[in-house]
Amino acid sequence: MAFIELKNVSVIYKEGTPLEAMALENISLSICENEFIGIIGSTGAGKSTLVQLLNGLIEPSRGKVLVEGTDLSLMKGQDIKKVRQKIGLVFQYPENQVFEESIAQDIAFGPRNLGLDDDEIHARVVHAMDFVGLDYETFKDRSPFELSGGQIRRVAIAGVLAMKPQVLVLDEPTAGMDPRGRMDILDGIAKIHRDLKITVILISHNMEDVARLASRILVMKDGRLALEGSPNEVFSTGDQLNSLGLNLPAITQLLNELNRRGLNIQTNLFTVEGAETEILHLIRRKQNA
Amino acid sequence: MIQIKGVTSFYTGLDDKKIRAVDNLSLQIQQGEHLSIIGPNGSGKSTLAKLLNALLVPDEGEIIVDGMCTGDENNLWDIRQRVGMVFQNPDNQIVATSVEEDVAFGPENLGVPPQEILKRVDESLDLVGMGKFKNRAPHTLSGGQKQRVAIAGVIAMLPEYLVLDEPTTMLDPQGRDEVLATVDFLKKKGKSIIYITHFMEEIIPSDRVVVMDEGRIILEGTPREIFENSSLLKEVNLDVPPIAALADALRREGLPIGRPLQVKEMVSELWPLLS
Repeated sequence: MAFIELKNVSVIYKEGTPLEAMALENISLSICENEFIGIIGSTGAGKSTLVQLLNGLIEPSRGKVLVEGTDLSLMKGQDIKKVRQKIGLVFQYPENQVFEESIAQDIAFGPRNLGLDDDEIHARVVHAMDFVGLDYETFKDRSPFELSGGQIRRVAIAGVLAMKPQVLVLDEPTAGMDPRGRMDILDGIAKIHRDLKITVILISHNMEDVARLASRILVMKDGRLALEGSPNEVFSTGDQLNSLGLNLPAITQLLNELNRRGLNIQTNLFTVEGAETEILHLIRRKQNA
Repeated sequence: MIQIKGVTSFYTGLDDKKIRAVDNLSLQIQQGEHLSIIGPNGSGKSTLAKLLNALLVPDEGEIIVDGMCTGDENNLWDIRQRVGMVFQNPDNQIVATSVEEDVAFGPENLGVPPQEILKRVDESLDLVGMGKFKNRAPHTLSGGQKQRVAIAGVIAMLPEYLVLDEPTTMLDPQGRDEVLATVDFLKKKGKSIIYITHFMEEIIPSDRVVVMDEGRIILEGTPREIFENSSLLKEVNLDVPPIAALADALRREGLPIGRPLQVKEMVSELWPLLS
């Protein structure tokens, strides 16, 4: 059974007024356990609206959202709370989300709301901080406001991990970060997915990152699901992707161009390492011929 | 010309500790130049940008814009007109309820006569390719379109220098392409561009690149020269764009490959080896 299921979901803002706007239109989708999903699409395509549906932060105007087979609209407050524990959301610019006096308190906020006892909360905070690479003793008493952008994002992710979610949703977690900071956060997310067996849903404008990390990609356009598939499938549709306001990773563009010129080269590669191996392989084959 | 002479700028951190955001930095920016500034988070890039149009004034040293010192309050309006700023978040820069009024806001504040304002608004919007959207409400535009309106608003003040502080950070790939194309076009029209970014591929079209770390310039050169220093870049949390990284990797394997930065150049390098 799919962990999350959307059935013909539409979200219409200000329905019945002159300002009516269709944010999502007839989306059907299943997300299984331990998937790594990348969501791409231009600004205003409905990516953020889509992920806010998943844990009941907004309700569909039409259609249903099911979590573990249960319709969210039929759930009472207590059950919705459980869903929010299972599906954790890290918003864009988490700098705006931290508020406690110390980092440990900030991360403990969610587990405390779950009504856990102090020992369990402490254990979870220590574990979550360790997992995102923030040393507990060094950082526990520091104010979240004296941290760098990258560290604050780790605090936000740790806060969600401390809820022991089954799904981690991240809305552009690396916006505005320098290349190294970006890589550290993304490596951390890959580790969470691999070691904790958590389903990850990552919204990003960076095609390279999504191609490298995701097992399945959803491409949104004007509130609709325009394209869906493995990175191979999605990035082999070059022209269609361009018409959706997106572009191919530079490495893939290079391989496509070599292929177009008549070279028999694998084009479904997205990383520098992948392209390097393929090019060296072709050159050795040519030398041996 | 903008002359930055031994400039230090402090900000007050926790416990009232003074921290050097910019540390004894000297740099000259020529008219018509396209200069990119890169550096990790917290390296002082944005502080430097704000110093250029007197949003901040140096604590030590001085900045001279076309002969005017930014520390002299009498020069404030002239300097702000000459050095236009575009910031990261287009939503924070748009003030009016129509595109036309938004672009008119700057020249109105400068006391430009109404007829002249109308002309400038049309010309600026045409320059950024937003002429058709003159009567639209800004909130109905995409991120890239809003950012282009913000650029038009600055252009309408007829600046000599355009400072863009991470203008594409919040944009999708298409919005980013739109802004980059606009910058390229303005450069061809003779505007000086000072472009701050975290995206390594965005510095490729510039004439000169300055790499900042801890408030100082640690490297300076053409984009190609900068990317030859990939290990230094990595030390300061930066990187090289994928095509340059691939060329580096293949060169290390002994392949005779130059220093391509773009897909087209890389195809020309690889084709003779592979075909």
